[in-house]
This record gives sequence, structure tokens and C-alpha cells, in this order.
Amino acid sequence: MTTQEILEGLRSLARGKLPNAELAEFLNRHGCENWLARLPNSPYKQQFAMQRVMSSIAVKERYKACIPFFSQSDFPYAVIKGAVLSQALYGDPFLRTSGDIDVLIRREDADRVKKLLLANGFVQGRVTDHGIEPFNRREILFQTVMSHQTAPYIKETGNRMCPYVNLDVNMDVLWGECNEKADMNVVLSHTEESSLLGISFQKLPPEMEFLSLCLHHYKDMNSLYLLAGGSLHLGLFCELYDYLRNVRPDAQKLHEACNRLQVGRYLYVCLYDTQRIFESEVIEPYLEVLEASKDDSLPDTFGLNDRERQEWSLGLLERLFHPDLSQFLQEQLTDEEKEKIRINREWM
Amino acid sequence: MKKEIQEKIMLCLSEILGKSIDEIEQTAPDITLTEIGMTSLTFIEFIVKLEEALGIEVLDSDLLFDHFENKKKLFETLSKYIPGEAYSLKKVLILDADNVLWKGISGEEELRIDETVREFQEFLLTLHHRGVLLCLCSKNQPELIEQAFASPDMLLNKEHFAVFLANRHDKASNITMISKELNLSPDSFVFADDSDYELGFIALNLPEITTVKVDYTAPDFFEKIAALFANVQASSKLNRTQLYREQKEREKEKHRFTSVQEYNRSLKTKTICRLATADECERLAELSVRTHQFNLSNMQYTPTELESLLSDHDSAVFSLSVRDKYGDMGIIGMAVVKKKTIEAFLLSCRVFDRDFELVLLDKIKETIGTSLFGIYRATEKNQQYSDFYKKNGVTVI
Repeated sequence: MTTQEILEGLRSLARGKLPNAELAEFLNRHGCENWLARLPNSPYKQQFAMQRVMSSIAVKERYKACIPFFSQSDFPYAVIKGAVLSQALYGDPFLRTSGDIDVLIRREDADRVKKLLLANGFVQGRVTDHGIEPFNRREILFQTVMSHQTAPYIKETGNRMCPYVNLDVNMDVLWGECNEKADMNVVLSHTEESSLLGISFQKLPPEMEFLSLCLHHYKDMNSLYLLAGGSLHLGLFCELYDYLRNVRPDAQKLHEACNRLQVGRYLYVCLYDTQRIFESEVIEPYLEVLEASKDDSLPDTFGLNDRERQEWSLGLLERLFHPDLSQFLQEQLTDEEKEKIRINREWM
Repeated sequence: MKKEIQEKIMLCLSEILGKSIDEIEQTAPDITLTEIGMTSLTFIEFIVKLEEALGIEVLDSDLLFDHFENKKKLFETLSKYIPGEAYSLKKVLILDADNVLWKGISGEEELRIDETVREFQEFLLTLHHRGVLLCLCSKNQPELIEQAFASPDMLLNKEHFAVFLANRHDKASNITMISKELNLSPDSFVFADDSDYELGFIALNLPEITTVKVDYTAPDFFEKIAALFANVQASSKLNRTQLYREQKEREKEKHRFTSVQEYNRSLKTKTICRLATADECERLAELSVRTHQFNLSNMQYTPTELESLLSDHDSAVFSLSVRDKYGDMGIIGMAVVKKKTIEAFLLSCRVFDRDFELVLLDKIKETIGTSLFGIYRATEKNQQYSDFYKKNGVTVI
């Protein structure tokens, strides 16, 4: 299949038309399973139905475990990604597969959050063959200092179908390597009440939710550590396109939010690449309002800050469909960068 | 900070950076640790060492390289972890005027209030609304400062300032005077000026004050100031500037009376001291975090913790509100009692020397009984009240 055939098949799929079997399987492997599964007579429906059942069990356990967190009023927060995003994108909270639940808080509330979670049975640790193994102090420090998240929290559920709940506490919508920090008071200033399975919680309004999603995906597209682990895939762009198409956040409000947080250039390049793939009128108005934020140094580069940034020697579609981009990247990185990836793998 | 603690910290730095203690001590306080060899990974090792050496655990909210950026910030951040070292919550921002609130020097050149200056003034207004006390301290002539404030481009006006000083006195004397007037310790002050001379003068004479250089060519000073006031509760509903102005009026009358009771009567003082209600918990929690002088145990509470105490049969939470002819001061005191032990007893510094602490204690005795125990934990700031319980028949534990 040529790149052009893949693109045309993808665009047809976006319009609701099932591509040929070879192309469908290719797109399935590249993160388009949601679209494939939702088409009538799709051979992926059954596989997806099972996935949905498992997802619903996991989501139920996650949200139940987080009730003490959701019901407090000592600090602002918002639930992001996972089931909340699935509900926004598809009207069904169980379609988007996820291994954890993510919340956004302000860094200054991290200690209150820790106190609350530890008092409610959560542990900062990892799952091993012997159950939950708490992180040692160095591991907690590494994860909290070097990233935008605290070390993750885990809790046993007692449910054999979903034995553990993983909770990721995010203290910024930007990433640890970024020279800037977002004003989380702005991000969390207008959360909305929502509910799932009878459990109430706070989420972001659409414009801030899309902004947060874009920044998350920007990180996946640019982090040396994540790219080395195969984070760049078509599904990232499908999700951005789907959000704009199905939710239609207000372009002007999105623009204002980007200005306040000074993140417009990251959103612009995400949408620019999404448009290169889908060539859709849905994306145009958002590119227009963010045009002034365009940073010509960002397209076709990777790296999460000015010091790390370098140009890809492959075009967008080449790197999206490269058979082994991780290996390709290894050949491009310096020894220092490879060492950084190794350290991240050891500690995270 | 005690010498012994400082030495431990310097030893940790020395071991991590592979430099002698002398070398590190000779480094200027504002040189970044990165410049003397700290990396992200060695920073983590440094924190591990510090925690072991000092017997502390650094809070997640402090695990930012910025909070340990240089020696000065490092000591400031760590001071709140050291027993007996009170955490200096920042409450007051003292600002120079020329080249800070506007570009240019009033009376010598045309003043410019451009977009960046307006952004800074908007930011200051946000701090004001969140309860930070803004004070002006300028060496320019008062009439020239007033003239500048009269500009239609100014977003700030005199009403936004709790203290407004424009005179030829040195700034350390002026700031000491502000500290007395507000009855707040200088370690809760931040001083922002464009002049290296003035900043250095304050650093030398009032080292407990945090200084920030205002430089419109490098506007990251906004962020530095914001970080210093990050713990100010955004939800605080008190207009503290107004409260301090009302307090000044009360102070003027005080000298006319020979007794506290006479003075309180003259002000038509009314106190409401009772068991707290759920809607008061937010303000009470804020009080427990902000009050350091008349705070006998330094227990801090969140609103949720206080709400759950309200429904605990073995506990009682008391609130004390005061108003007089000058205004409603709102809730100015609180106590938490568990069984017969006073776990927390505190009074806002705005209402010292009016015997309101006795009103609060009397209410506790009336409600719980007279055989009471009281938790007292000594800090640098509460020592003048160390004998309060003993003087008033409460057994100290």
C-alpha cells in the first residue's frame, strides 16, 4: 500500500466507509480501532464488544475507588482522558481503552491529595507478581521532580476482573521537560460537574479539555522517551480530529485559553499535522484562530524543549507508518539522549 | 535558621556537588545551584540526603527545582520543615513606585503605562483581591507619586494599598514601620524594587524579607512574585486591606482609654462566640493556616477536617467573631477541643490586646467545663503567649 492509499482509506473510514481488509487491519494496528469497530458489518465489532465489557468493569472500579477524591471540596481538580474523554468523543464512556484514571490538580494541592488518597487505601507503587510494591523514596522523588505527575497511586479493588485501580495525578497540562509551567488556576477555574455510573465528579469545559488533550498528544509526538517506546501513532491524530468533529469546542474560547496559558504554538502544530492527514473543513476554523500563535520552528521536529529539539529526517506520513520508528530514532539520538531514555525507563 | 541545621544542609550540598563547604558558603545566595553543578539527577540525590540528615520529608508541592534554585530559596523552602522554625507565609507585598508601577521616574520624565505594566498591575489587583496586603514604599516626593496615581491609565489606586509611604527615609526604616503598623512580622513580607541598591540594602538590614527585582526587560519577576504568594487562598473572602484600615482607626482611639474594657465599650464592641457552623469552616481553616503569633499549638486544619469535627460527639469547634463601630472584623478566633483538651487555640493578630482570647476561653469553659488541658507547642513566633494557659487555669500538655 502506498502512503496515498493509506491516507485515502483513512479519510474514507473517517467518513464512515469500511476500507479493504488489508487496509483495515493496517489502520487497526495504528490506533483506528474505534472507527473500525463502530461501522455496521465491521469484522472488528466483536473484538471491540469484549474490550468494551472489560473497559466498563475497569471504569466502574476506578470511579468507585475515587469517590472520596471526587466528593471533597478542599481543592479544585478535574478528571481528564479515559472514560470522560470517551464520553465526550463517542457518547459512550467505555469505548476508549485506558489503563488508569487521570486527574488534574494544582501542584500546591499535591500534599492534600496525597493525604486524602493514602487515607483511602491508595499506595504510591507498582503492581508486581506479589501484589502492590510501594515505590521507594528515590522512585517517588524521580517521578515527581522529573515529570508533571506525582508518582502514580494504586489501590486494590478486590475485584478479580479488575484487581487494581491506577490513579495518575497530573500537576500540569505541560510536561516536566518544558521550560514553562501552566497556570493551573486558569486551567481549573471553570470545571463542570458531570457524572458517570451515578458518581459525580468535576471535568474540564470542552475548550480546556481539548487544550489538555492536545498538549498530552503533543508530548506523545515529541518526547524522546515516549517516542522510543512507540508513542507516535495515527490514533493520536484521529482523536484530535474526532474531538473537533464531534464536540465542536468554541474556537474563540479555545484561542483565549491558549493565549492565557501561552500554549497556542503547541496546539497549532498538532492541528496543522492533523490537517495534513485529514484535510478536513472541520479543522480549518481552529487553525485560523490559532494562526497568530504559529511557531515555524516546531513542525517536523521532535523534543520537548528548545535544548532537545531537532528535525525529523522523515516526513510526517513516513514516520507515522514507519515499520520500526523506535529503532530509527535510536540511530538519530546522541549518547546523552539515549542515556536519558535509559534512566527514565529504569525509574518510571 | 539555627547554625547546626545550616551546617547539615551545607554538608549535604557539599557531598552532592563534590565541592568543599567553604566553596559553597562563598557562593552568593542568589547564584543558581545549576551554575555550581546541580543537575536534575543530583537534585534528587540531594533531596534524599537532606531528608535523611534533617529527619524530614519534603512535600510534593515543594519538589520543584525552582524551590531550591539557589541557597537563599533553599533555606527559605527548608525553614518550614525545621521544628521551631515557623513557616513564613507571605502576606504583604511592598512595592516601589518608579519603574515598578509605571515606567519612568515621576517628576523627571514622561511616565509610560504600557501593556506589560498594565499586566503587572492586573496581577497586583489579583493578589489584592486574594487578600495580599499591598504597600507602597517610595523615596520620591509624595505629591509626584499622587500625580502619577492620578493617571487615567493606572489600574491601581491608593485604596488598594494598606500602607502608602512616599518619603526620603531609608526603606529599611520605612518597612520596619510598616511591620509595626500592620503588626506583622517582616518574614511575611516580599519587597519588589527595580533598584539593586535598595534590594541589597533590605537584604542586608532585613534579611528575613524576600526581595524580588522588578525588571521589565525580563518579566519573569511576575512568576517569582506569584510563586511567593502561591499559598494565599484564592477563595479568601476577606478584604484584608479594608480590615487593616479599620484597625488603624481603632488604634488611634486606643490611647484615650485607661483600660481594655473601657476601650472595647467605647468602640461598641460586640462579640459572638459559639460552636462553629459548617459554613464557617472555610474561614476557620484559613485562620489556622495564616495565624502564627497567638497560635498555641500550630495545628492546621482543612475545611473538610473541621466539618467532620463538627459531627464528632467528642469534639467541639468554637468560632469567635467581633464587630465594632469601625466595622465587622468577621471571625478572628477559633478553638478546637477534643474531650477536655484544647487542641487548637488561636487569635488573629488584628485583634490583640483587647482580651478577646479570654472571651474565647470563657466560652470553652462554659461549654466543656473548667478542668481543661491545653496543647502548647513553642515556636519562634508564639513564645510571648507561652504562659496563657497557665495564667488562665488550663493545664499545659
